[in-house]
Amino acid sequence: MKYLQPVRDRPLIGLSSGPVASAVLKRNEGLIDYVEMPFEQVRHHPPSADIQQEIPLLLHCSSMSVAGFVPPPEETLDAISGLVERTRTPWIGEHLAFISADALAEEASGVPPTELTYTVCPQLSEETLDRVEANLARLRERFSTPIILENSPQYFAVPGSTMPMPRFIAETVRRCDVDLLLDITHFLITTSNMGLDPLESAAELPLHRVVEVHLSGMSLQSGRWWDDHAAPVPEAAFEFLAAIAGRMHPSAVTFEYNWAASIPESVVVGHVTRARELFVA
Amino acid sequence: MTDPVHRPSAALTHTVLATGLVDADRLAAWRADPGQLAGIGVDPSTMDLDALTDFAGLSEKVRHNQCRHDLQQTFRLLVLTGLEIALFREYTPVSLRRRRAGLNSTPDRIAGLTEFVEGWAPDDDPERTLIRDVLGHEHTVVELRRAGLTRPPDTVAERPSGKAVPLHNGRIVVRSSTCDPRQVGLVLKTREPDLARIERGTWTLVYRRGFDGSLAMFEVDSGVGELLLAVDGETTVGDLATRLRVPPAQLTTALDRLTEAGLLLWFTSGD
Repeated sequence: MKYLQPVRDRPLIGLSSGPVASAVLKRNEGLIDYVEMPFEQVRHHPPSADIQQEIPLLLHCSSMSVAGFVPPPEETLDAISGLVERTRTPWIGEHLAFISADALAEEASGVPPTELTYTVCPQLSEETLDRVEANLARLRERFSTPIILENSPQYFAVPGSTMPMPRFIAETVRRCDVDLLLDITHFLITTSNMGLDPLESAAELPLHRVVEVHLSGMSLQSGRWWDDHAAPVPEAAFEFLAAIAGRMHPSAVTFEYNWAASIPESVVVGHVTRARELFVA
Repeated sequence: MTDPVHRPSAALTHTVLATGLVDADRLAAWRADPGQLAGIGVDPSTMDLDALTDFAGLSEKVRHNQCRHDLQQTFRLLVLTGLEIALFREYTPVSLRRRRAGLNSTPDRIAGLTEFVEGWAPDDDPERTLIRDVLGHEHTVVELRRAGLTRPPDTVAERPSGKAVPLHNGRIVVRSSTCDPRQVGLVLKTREPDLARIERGTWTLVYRRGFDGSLAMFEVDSGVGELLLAVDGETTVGDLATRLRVPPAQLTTALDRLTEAGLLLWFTSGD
């Protein structure tokens, strides 16, 4: 088994698990340092984790519903904990989002919570911050490694919100003393959809707490920007990352191409190289 | 930001968002009558139901990631035409009903999407018909690859004498298309595809999966396509000629050509 050990002078570069990562690994030995593995993928298909015999794994997770009001099942947390021990991941990347919610009151009696298959941006409010703080305190006790939180993509204004996403992220970090997984694409999607200036918004972020960076594609459809892990990272994302790179020292940069059946290998190699150069400079 | 006096709790907000994302019928009801939201404590003016419907479409799209390997051209076209969210948003309620019926495998999902897109693409919409026909092509290829075939006994590769009965040599699918998927593939292979370069017209395409596992596609005249569709492995040449209203000799010649091309076999029963 191989285990991920962050280094001091540069971020490690990885790819999220999927056909693109498999293809790149086959033909480009040493190009990437790790594969980011979703807990849910291993739970559904345990042999997915066997790739750790070839390359270290970094654990990612969507099941803890950190910003939600329905706690994850104990057996889910046990399973995550087991995978943390097995992979020796240096941290768990989890979404600052929810993935389950109570059923409508008119139906709630005896009806199980609504389970989603995709994490959702929460209400951006003090009430949610309180919840994140409480959830995180409880969750941290379960794991031998830190949880870091990933900013959600925001596609529309969430009812009841009292602050914009950048402030919500900053407040979460301040109140919870938690490190960040900054998804550059999610951030650009959010600022574009909500009419915010990305650089001004980034000024609100505690970038010194960024431990991991995510990069993926985004697409403009039906008048909004959407997350797209099947598309190459756009130039705008690299430019934005370059503009803020001097203010952060991430330990890892992950390219998320896990929805794609394939992406031209030259594109992936070029992106990995570009990320390395960005942080060396 | 929401007026603090009428601000819904975070838990209620999450409940409403989650319900809208998983319950397409409920979301449609809210869109038809946003006042229903007020009844459960959310000011309808603060909830962008159109965006939530799009988001449900994104979630549905993500559920179809497992189909991407087989539908690479279709997904590429959906992105390039900007119709990805539009399609999956409309497909969400249908897909939900299929999932509830247990149709969750990758072939099930591809079949369901293909069936839906047939009705989603009006004939006068060039972008949607392009997606329809490319999806139909990729679906056909997937189905033929999955087909387990055994050559029927008592068949020969030459027309026997007597009351001969032709049958397909393998599994054959005939499709009409407004594009040539091979040419579409070439356009999509470029770094920045120009969809205007995709040729449109009418193609009759024949797909053949051989008993040896081979898979081929080629273009034929529409008349040949009709003839191949008429061959059912039960009807004699004479009956086919009557049904198609062509002279038996002319039909025999055409069938012999298809036999030489490897598309037909014959039962040996003869008389």
